[in-house]
Amino acid sequence: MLTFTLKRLAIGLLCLVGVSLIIFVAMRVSGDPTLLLLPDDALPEDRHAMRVQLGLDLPVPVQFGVFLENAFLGDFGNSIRWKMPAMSLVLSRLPATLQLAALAFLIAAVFGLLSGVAAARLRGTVYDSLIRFVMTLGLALPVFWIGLMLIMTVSVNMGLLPTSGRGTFWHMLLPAVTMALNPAAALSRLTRSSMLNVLGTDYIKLARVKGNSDSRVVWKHGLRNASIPVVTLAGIQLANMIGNTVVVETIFAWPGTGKLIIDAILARDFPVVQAAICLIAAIYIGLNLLVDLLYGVLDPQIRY
Amino acid sequence: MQYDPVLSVRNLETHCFTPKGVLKAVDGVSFDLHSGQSMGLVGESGSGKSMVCNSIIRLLPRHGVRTVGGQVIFSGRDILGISESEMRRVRGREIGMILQDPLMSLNPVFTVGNQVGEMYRLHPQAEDGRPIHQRVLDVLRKVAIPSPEQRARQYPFQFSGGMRQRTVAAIALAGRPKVLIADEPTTSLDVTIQDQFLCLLKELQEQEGMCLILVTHDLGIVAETCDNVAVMYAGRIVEVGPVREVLMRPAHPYTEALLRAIPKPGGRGTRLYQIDGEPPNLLDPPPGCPFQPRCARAMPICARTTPPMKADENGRAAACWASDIEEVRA
Repeated sequence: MLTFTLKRLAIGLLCLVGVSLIIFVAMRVSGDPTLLLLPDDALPEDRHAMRVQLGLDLPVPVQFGVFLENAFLGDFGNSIRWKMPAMSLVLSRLPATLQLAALAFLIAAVFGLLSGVAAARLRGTVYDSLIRFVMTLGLALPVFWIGLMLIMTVSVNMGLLPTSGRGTFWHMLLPAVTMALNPAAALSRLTRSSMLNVLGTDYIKLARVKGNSDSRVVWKHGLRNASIPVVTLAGIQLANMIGNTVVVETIFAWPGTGKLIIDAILARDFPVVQAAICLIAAIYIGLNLLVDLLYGVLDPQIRY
Repeated sequence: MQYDPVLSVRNLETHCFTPKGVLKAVDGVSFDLHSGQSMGLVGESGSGKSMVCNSIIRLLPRHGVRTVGGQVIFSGRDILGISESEMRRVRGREIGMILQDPLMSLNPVFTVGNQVGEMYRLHPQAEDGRPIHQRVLDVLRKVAIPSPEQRARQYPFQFSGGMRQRTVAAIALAGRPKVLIADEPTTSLDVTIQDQFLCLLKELQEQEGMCLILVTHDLGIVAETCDNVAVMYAGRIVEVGPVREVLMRPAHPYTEALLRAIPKPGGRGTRLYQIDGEPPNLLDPPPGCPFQPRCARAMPICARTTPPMKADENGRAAACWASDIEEVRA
């Protein structure tokens, strides 16, 4: 298991280098930050001086080498716009994002799992069709539209919850629900089909033959087997959520990394974008590793 | 046979409700099982053998299949009429069952010890005060699982097919049931393991004084293991009786045909016997006796009226107009 983990970490590191290369090149293709930083009538000499100061005059491969070297030492450069270390800026915004993603994931996992199991147990009934209809809707509707509709109905028309910003728990609820709907729907559908597969097996029949009650059959004998594919999807969903915050944080003006990334991209603040994307990629890779390790806990046949 | 049977199935009827119509999977099945007796239930695939077992233990598919008539008298009451929670106390504890596929019957994510021990947790046996762990090891020893201390901590995938089947038997035994239903318990095992398992099953049955219902399509297995045999065809029992008599002197043409279909040693080069025609479509059964279209001894009456069960004083019975069973009905 240790060798497996170390191997996966090494691959993850390579992945990070790849991710940073892509984002590095993409940012430099997007344009010249000095166009935004200096006034329109700035002299070409001044622009050049600024580029030298930011290290943008060097060939791109050299810039990337310098970036990698510093990044390994934990230095992602200074924000061009906010004049502070890029990584500390990103990290200062991270708790807000994690908080939102955690609540959204919790909602998605609980609703997805419960509705999926319920649909499986009620297979063929009206309730099953109803759950599946709602979940298909949840998958089909775009996140930004759901967010806007929720703001309009719940906040503006009914005045129940704040429209945007961060503060109390109630501020978190709408963006979290918006983010949760899609993954909840996906989890629900997968849980349903996975549970149906499991409920058709002989070991479930044996569990009934032994005299187990219906709910014990489902929750004890069924769920752990049915959860193996669900855990994979849940891991991906959680990781995606960290990335998805970009949209939701923008809609709800939530001061997290997603909002920061958008602002930084618009300002061509290369170091901040690079630092943020690297961090999100690292979280993604870490979560995937965690999911793989979790398989070993759920399924005794999997040993690393 | 003067004392009451342990299990008495009376006119059991289980129907499948399909979009194409009602299929009578079990169509008026009756039999008695006396203390310590073993009965083989034989017939082709689709003759309703498993459906009879699942009806007795009330584990039919949730949709489209229902027991619509008859009684299953067990310990003096009709268990078709009791509540689901009462039925749960019957399942496992009073009526045990061994399922067809041993490779699939154990839950892959729990240890073997846990799965056997669950029986003691579900059905606490007050008279046995020992810790569950001890009782698990005991019952594993009973089914001849070597080094049970170590094996109990392992998972099903670490067991061979034969060992898994014996684990399933241990689970059934752990409830100390009065009736054990084994639904084709050996079909997915290879022949030597089959034999071992059947010997074990018979030994345990005698030791524990259980009744055994053994579902199979192998008459050889029935001959070795059972006291009585019931032959099923198209959802009905067409012949019952003591194993030796039925196999030596079948009274129903279908039983006769089944016996002829057994390959014989030394028969190399000769074509295997095959019953002409196909099993009837149960959605649209033929009139009269269901075997009549395939029967060599069919008479005009066979196509008009379903033959009643004729029984003699030795517990033999057959549902055939042509059978020579002397009815002794008072």
